[in-house]
Amino acid sequence: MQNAVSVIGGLVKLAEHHGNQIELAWPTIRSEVARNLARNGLMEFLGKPALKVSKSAVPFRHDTALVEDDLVSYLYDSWIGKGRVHLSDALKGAIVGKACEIYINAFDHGHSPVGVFTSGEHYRQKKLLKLCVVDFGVGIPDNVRGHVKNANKSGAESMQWAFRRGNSTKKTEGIARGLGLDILREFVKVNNGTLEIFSHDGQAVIDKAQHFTSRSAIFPGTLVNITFSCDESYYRFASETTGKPLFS
Amino acid sequence: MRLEVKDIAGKNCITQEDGNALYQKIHPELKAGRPVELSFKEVRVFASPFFNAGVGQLLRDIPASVLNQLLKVTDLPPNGIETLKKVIENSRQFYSDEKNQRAVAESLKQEE
Repeated sequence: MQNAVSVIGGLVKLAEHHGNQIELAWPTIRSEVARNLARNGLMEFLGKPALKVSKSAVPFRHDTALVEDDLVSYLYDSWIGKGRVHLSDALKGAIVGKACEIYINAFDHGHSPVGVFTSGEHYRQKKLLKLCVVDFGVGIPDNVRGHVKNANKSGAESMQWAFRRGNSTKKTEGIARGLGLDILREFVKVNNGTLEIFSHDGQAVIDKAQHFTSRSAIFPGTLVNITFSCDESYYRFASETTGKPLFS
Repeated sequence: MRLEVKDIAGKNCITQEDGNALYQKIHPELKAGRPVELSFKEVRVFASPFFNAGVGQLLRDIPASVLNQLLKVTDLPPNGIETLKKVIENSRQFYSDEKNQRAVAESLKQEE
């Protein structure tokens, strides 16, 4: 359901961007689904007068540019905040920082003509936090294939290349890059989370293991679905900087 | 020089632009051999593009041994430390690569 919210919202905007008008057949939508779409604000986003966004739902979000303070407030207050999840400040900061890596990738590499769409969910019983971030840009495999010596890489190989630390399709201004996906991978692996990315003909699934797959059913953009555990006991951080010099 | 990073980047150290703003402040000091202390007090969110530009980029033309002596980082929470360490490791590798060194030399020439 959570993924569908980002995808539906995004697809409607994408169709409109291409000059098409989309009319959803609202009466055909089951009442419990419609209730959900009303609760998270998607119905209103699609122009249907709707109920107020429920206080317990994570609101649907559409970004056309990266406005960092606004985005961080959303992630803190509307996603993990409002007392839904009891986590230490350090862990909240870590999770929000990792989520920001997803948005930076989307805006830096995606070139989505309609921006980035977000939906989220919190499963109190299972102690899980989920975030789904979707763009309709060129996708990871195409960006990777445009890079030196990568032209013939399959969807799976392209995804694997993108996850390798230090690999980036942007190497301008003499600044090292290529850490975002590696940081996300490490975080979910160590902390019992999952990360799924569908990008055009490539797919990556990271949990304790990692799988890269080529897909025949192509997603016209990039969908990142990340799940974090809300159980503080899973989380481990590197210790203090004391001892070893920082630049050793 | 002692800098409150919050005064330059705000509470969220995420973007390359904010990282560049920090770099512009500290690079001349460090290049001139003057010590710099960066306090991350009240900063709560960190992402790699900020550190890539703000700190990792220092390795373009200042040796690690010099940075160890001159640059002091304080009040950085564990999630920030983890990200910063990864960025430094990645930047060291990047700037030691011969191809990248040529690109960096070119970009430094253009800046002059």
